[in-house]
Amino acid sequence: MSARKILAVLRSGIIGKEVEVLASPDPSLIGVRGEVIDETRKTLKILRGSKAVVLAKENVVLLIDGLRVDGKLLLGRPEERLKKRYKI
Amino acid sequence: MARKPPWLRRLALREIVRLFELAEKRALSGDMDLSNRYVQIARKMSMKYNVRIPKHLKRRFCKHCYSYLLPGRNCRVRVRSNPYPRVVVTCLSCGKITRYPYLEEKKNARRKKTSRKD
Repeated sequence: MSARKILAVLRSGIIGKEVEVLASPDPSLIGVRGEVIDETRKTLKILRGSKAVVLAKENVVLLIDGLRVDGKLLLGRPEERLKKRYKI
Repeated sequence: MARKPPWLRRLALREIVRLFELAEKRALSGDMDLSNRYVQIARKMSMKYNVRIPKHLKRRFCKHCYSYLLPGRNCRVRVRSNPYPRVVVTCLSCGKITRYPYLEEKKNARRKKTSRKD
């Protein structure tokens, strides 16, 4: 797959980006769309309407900039993820 | 610790600038908590990757409590000239003040003026 493009997405921070949940063990979260407003080591906080939804990075698949990205690749604190190495 | 490789520091700088843009956007829409959070992340990044926060961005948050400053909302900006010219910024979140002297700028302006006369 377009590993290069995914890498570009991962390298630039994810806060402020528009994302959509493509897959999650929680069916009510699938299709949720919104801007990422904050993130911790294992979660993402996205804004849906005026409410914040917290997603566990570990088990979601997201659509970011038109690319399918496994949430597992997003694990780690925002300030530490820049240098992370990825296997795609 | 060894200096981080240049490509990583470039990446970090780009991310810091982006975070400040976002912080400004949030502050303007009234969400100061998020702005402060972005400043916090940007600072952590700069410390971790040994990147300086550019001067114009460094002045966007309080040196003491690190809250994002939006003039007219949570900070007061005044220009004072005696005994030395400086800009005084009062953070209304913590009440502390930060001074930015501009003696050099003033000297340069004076020099330009006199050289024009000659």
